[in-house]
Amino acid sequence: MAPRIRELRFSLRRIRDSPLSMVGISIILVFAAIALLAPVLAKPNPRDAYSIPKFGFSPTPKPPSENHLFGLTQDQYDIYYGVIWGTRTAFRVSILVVGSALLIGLVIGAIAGYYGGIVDEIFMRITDIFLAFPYIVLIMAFVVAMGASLDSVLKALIIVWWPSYARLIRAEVLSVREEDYVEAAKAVGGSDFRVITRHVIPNSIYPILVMASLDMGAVVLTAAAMSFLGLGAPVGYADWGQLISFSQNWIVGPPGHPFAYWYTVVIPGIFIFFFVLGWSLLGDAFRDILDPKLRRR
Amino acid sequence: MRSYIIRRLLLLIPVLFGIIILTFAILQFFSPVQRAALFVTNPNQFKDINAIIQKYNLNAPVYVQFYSWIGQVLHGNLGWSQFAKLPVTDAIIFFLPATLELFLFAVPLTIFIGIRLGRLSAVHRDKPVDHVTRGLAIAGYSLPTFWLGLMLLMVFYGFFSGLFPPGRLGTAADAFVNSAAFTRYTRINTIDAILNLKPWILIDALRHLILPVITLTVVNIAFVMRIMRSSMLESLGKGYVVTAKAKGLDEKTVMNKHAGRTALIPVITVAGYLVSGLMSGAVITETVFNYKGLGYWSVNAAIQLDIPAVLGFTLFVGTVVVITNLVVDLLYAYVDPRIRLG
Amino acid sequence: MEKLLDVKDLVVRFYTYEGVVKALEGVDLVIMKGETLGLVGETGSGKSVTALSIMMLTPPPGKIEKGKVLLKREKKYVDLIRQKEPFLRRIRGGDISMIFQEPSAALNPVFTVDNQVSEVFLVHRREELCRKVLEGIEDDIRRKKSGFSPIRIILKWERGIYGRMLKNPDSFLPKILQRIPVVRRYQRRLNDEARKMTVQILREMEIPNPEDIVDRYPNELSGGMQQRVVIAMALACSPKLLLADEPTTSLDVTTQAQILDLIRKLKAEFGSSVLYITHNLGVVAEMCDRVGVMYAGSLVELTDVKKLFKNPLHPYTKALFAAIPKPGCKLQSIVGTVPNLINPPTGCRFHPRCPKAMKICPKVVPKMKEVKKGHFVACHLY
Repeated sequence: MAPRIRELRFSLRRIRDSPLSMVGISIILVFAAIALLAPVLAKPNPRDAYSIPKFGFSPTPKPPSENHLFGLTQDQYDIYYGVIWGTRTAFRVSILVVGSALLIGLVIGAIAGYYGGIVDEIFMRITDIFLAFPYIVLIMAFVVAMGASLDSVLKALIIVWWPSYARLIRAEVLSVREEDYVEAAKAVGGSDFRVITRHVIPNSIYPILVMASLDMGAVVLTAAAMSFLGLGAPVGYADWGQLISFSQNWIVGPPGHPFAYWYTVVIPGIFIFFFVLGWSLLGDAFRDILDPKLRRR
Repeated sequence: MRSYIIRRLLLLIPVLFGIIILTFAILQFFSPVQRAALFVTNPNQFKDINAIIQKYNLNAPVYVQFYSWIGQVLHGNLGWSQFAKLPVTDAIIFFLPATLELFLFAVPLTIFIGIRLGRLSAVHRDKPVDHVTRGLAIAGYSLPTFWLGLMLLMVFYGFFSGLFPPGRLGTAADAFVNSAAFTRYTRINTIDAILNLKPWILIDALRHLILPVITLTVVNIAFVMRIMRSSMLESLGKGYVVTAKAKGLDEKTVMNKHAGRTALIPVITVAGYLVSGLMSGAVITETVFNYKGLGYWSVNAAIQLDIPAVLGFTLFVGTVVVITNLVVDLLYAYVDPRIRLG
Repeated sequence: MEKLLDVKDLVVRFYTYEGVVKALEGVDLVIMKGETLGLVGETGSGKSVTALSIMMLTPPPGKIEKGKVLLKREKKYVDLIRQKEPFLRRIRGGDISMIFQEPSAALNPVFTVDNQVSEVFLVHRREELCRKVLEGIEDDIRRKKSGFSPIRIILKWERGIYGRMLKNPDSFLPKILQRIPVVRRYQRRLNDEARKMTVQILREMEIPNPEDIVDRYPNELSGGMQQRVVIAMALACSPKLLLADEPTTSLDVTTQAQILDLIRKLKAEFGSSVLYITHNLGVVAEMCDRVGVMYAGSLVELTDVKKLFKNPLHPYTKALFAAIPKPGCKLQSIVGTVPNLINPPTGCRFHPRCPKAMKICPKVVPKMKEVKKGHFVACHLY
């Protein structure tokens, strides 16, 4: 185990030395704090915490004020409440999707790689098919079929995301299977399965980590896009993409005040941007640190 | 190389088939009445919905349905798009040039800038230039496409009162382009403007294109840059770079010719993913900018539950991406002498 | 015999994440004109770093900390460490060249043989090429006297450009014209002349069918052929010094013999000096006039070949010879392992493994002393 621990410490040190990854980690921690402290930061709506409270009936957005820190968007939804609880939504979505996609991909990829032959071929053709479509196009089709809602978006995301993980795991399993020590282990009576799990998991942790970090951001981006287009979270739900879709009509203010309603667009967008940025920086830094070809000086 | 080509072509068939099956699978989520729209070619036929259901066996077991449907698809009938008020196939042809025009500008721009940045980043690895470039590329990729679009509109359309407006053409230009005085060769505005020798149309089209193209490019640059950077780093570590230096070649030639050319080859593989990513981006960008292309059509269709449109679009895009990937793979095999003559 | 290369007290350090690797600690080498100096040592002893550093191509994160690398050029000695890049570029490939262990790694897989070998000529023999091209153009002009005028105009224009290039090698105009797609076809003449020279040198390398080989890609050639091409690139401009870093280690024995013959022949023909790096004592015996033995970043023994084989003085050298497998005898190996150069042993770096270690060895670094005539050793025994 000692060499692995040494490698791990080397990796941790490189993470510490890389300015980009430190920035990424800090950003993520801030968002995690916001998500955890959501009920404290914004008193939850008694009926449904994720339903943004309205403060009036006027369609015109109102600028930030004492009571409404980030202003009110179209139909008087409170932006501050929306972005705070939207953080929770973002984490929920990303963790759920990435976690599920990872698990499904793990199982399928492991089976495909382990058994090989026709099972492998079939599974790989299936992943090819899914990967042939641009994400959004396929997700749109699924969401239309299942009826537009946040749940449909979640399901569609999971369906579309698992193939990449399956591919990754399968590649690892295959490469491990080729190794001589598998033969050796079998010769002394060890089972294929145990050897593979003992070696596949540690080896594949790194690329999975890279992919998962990047995906945490990518999933939120896609989910936000779906909500923005009107195919995801329903109107008034605490979701960043949903908030931005309100702002479409207000990007140009009245003559003479072009930026009058800036807060409806800029604020929710900043939240999305930094959330994704944090994870992307982390994932990219991981990739650089853990790529064996680029690792050592 | 020949065996490689043949294998690649053979692989195409099951994937295409799979795409069709997947689309069909999604189709099964809908009721027979909704599915009937897929077999209709003009609105009048809606009156006899039941007749259609009978005719195409929409209540029969799955494999029968598949047979009916695939027959239609292969005849080019993908149904009727309620949103576009056109048969789906015609709608695709109608909206395609607009999206193509976007790609015409976005693809070269993304590739060119991405390669440049990647190379710069690799050559100055771990120096400030590297960190800044990578940071910017990641920032670009982290921007929600629709947000960037809206922000750009806010500044360049709102603040600079109409400098770069949404849509494809201004009202005057639009009227002119649809009149008899203007011949539509390709229905791509910039090209047609040049062919018709009307510079003001060209300028108008470009004005409308700038923001969407920038939006698409910014978000997708990171893709290209990332692979170029890692490919270049790998190339720089190779023996022939030291040999090149030992021959007395100057730094620029070593970087650009020796390390660079070899590094470009893996980048070709990204082209396939780039098209896919741009398509996703185009869907959103066209909606934000009211740019009437395939993306715009599909989103509005989705919202209005115009099922034939959504499915037709999905099928079309899937096929295009698969073929693009095939072309990319063949190109890769050709460009790399190790594979071409191996 | 005069000195061609004089390396004095060369110190090279590598700054890595794990620490500072003290790769070379004060190496002193002299290479005479026309001689072959062998450099033997284990992997990690610093042989390749020495060669690369002579060409000022120390790979990053390495840096040359101290020392002098004096090269005899036009009757003067120039310290390469203090020179700027443009000068060094003229030296590389022109005065000093290098061939490497893996020929397939040294050749760029996406360019043809012609392209890669001609490069050397295009960089170092520009004037000669321009002159030849101008002769060709004059011939063409004479022949076209009664012909169609546009061609004459093009020819006259080409003559102008090449004349410019001849007079002023760094001239601005050709550099711009080079970048314009159709116009840059004028370069064809230059490339054709270079190609002729490439074919010629390939023929001298005893490569069969050079006109055919020039258009091939490296991966179409066998290992031996590739190495010949690499040698061709190195000797194209008749360098005074050839640095050969284990050029035959990756080849099979028959090919190895052929390449060694070739190098010997070329050395006689071109009159170059050779620094031959290897860990194979048999090759040393065949090829070298003098030999230096390196261990862990320093030179421990330096003398001519016969003396070394007859009477090795340094304990490490003795152990190396003893380690050569002899039928009937037990295989002798050297105790211990090559030291970690981040924290090398103090004093004489060999002392932990030396059977003759004394009290002074860990304390003081031994200096190279001329123990017998022409025989230098760095050891406290002497």
